[in-house]
Amino acid sequence: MPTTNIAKQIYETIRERAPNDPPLQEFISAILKWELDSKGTFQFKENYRQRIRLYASKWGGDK
Amino acid sequence: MLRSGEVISKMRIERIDLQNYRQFRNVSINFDSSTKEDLHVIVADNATGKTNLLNAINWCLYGDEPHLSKDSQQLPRLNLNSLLQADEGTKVTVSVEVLTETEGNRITFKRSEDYVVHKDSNQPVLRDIDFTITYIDENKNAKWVTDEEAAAYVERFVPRDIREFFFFDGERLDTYFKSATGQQISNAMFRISQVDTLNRMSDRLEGVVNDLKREAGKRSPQIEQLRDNIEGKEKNRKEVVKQITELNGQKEEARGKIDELNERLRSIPDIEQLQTEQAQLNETSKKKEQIRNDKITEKQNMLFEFGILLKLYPSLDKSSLVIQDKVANKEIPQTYDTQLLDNIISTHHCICARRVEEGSDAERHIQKLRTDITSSSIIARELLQMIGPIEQVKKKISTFKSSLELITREIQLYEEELDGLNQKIQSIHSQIGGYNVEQIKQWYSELKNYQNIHDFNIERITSLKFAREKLDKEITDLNQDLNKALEKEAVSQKLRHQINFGNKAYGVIGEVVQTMMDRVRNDIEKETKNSFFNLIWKKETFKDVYIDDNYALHLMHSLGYECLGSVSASERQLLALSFVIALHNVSGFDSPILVDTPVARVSNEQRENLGKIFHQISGNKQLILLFLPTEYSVEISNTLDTCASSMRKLRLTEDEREIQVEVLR
Repeated sequence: MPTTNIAKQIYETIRERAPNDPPLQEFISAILKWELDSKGTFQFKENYRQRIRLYASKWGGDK
Repeated sequence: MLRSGEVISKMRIERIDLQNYRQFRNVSINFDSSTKEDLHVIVADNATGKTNLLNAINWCLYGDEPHLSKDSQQLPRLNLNSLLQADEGTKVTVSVEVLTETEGNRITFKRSEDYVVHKDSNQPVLRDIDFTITYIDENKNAKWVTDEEAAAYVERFVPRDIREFFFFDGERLDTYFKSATGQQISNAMFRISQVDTLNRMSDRLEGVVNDLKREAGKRSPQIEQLRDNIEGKEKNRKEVVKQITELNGQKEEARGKIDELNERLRSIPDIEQLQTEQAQLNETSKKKEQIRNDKITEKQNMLFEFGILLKLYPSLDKSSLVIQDKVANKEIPQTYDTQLLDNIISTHHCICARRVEEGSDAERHIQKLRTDITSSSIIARELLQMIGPIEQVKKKISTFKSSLELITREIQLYEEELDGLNQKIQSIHSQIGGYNVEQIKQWYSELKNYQNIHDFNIERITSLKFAREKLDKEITDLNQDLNKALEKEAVSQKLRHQINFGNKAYGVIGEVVQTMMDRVRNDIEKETKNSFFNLIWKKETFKDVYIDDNYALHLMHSLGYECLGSVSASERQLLALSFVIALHNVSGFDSPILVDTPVARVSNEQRENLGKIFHQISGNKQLILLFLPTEYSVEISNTLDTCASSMRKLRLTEDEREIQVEVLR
């Protein structure tokens, strides 16, 4: 995981922008991590679909 | 220890090893930090490897040489002596190795190229390229990565997109904020705030959600239609956003040019305006000159006319006196009515009723009387009639002095006015005289042109922003319609849920992008301001530093005006350095700063100030400065000689094909 202030700020901002919505926060953080780790060169569609399926199943709907 | 995905927060260069790289045949340069400051000075003449050291670091880390001179571009990367001394068909390796240290760990970046030498060709043949990074992993084992993986590691050291804020040509510092800088600054902020990554995420998520909608649409033409509409609107929106970005870039470029031209024209008068003013003054002067000349003619006529009158004055005066005397003495004969005598002659009857015979003495007497009376009456009348005109002429002569004075004064006033006008014309002429008028007119014309471009782009951007808002609303409405259609068409609950979830995430990422850009901008602004006001030697001159909505940097004078264009080169360099330091601090990419010719454009007096600034910066960050000998003047060496951790001098060998490093400290 990135350890810079910027990276910390991004995660903080995700939490701020999706308050009380852990599945949404976790989903965005997960795809961000995947993009940063892998530079997201290959198979992004499958990776995104997989994570949407996973986190949408925990999601209670628009708040 | 370096973990996967981790950004290296603090790094310094320990050593650079160069083998057969351009003039560096076999050179190692250590950057030991023996003092509390991490400051390293390298002095070298022009074309003695200074800039190629900057190129060597870039080539090692990124595989290119952005600062290569035209001469060097013609030469192979392989050292000329190595090339000439190699046997036919032998392999010679060019390599640059940058050994770094980060929080106790060592990471080595090494790029090499293998060449095969053929004597019948000037250029060696490139056979192999290799880029390797070696490091110690969490289990304290030596590891290495190569090629793409290695390039990804470099991104955690100094990202390629912002390397110009770490390894740069000092002469650029002076011009750093002058042209297209808003775009450069916003690009840097995009990079360090990971907005590029977030935007990529946003695009990809949009594509995946659209796929989900397409899947749902297979069951209904209405859903398919709505999805198509949404995709069309989103495509339009992207195009609008792209145009806004492009126009913002053009607007900022125009602003940069306006600042540059304004600075160039700051001490130069507005030639066009002066020329217009000069033409108007010439016109006025011409008119006044005509009036003055008319007055002079009038005066000449007056003098001529009065000259005659003045000569006649004594005679006229005497005549007038004589006539008046005669009148007073009753010496002027009476005038008689000749009508009565004419009646007697024509009717032959006297008033006494007697007949006057024709041809008689009486008649001849009456006729003689009539002739006498007529002559004396005419003379008397003419004499009396002369008095009026003579008196009028005398009266006119009496006004001569005042009329002459009046017209002389008028002429004098016109002369004075003309002198004033001529002085103004002359002054404008002198103001314009020392300048290349055509060049200045050209600059003013360019200024006007760029102002028009700037203003036109503002109008276009405003209208495009309005279009974007309209599209946003349409997309939101269409998405709501799509949701209703999905419900109506009994698309699986699960799929609808995933689409909603994806849409929601897409919206949040957009908000995160904007928030991050704003935060990073605010943080960099704050840090730049802190550094600048902490380091600046004139504590009272400046009031504020800020970055505007278009990412252009502004420096405000304490008197309230924008002064970035008018400050000295050293003050502008300090602001650029403050910005660079702020960018390092905010980004977390705390890597060394390497500056080629750091004070080339700075006056001797200001070099002392910058020397102190370099000293201060090196307390927290590794600073490698590459000076020309003339640049490393006593004003700066006085400070740096005492605090530098290392000092080197680069020299060329006699054949000018190799560089030797002399260690001064």
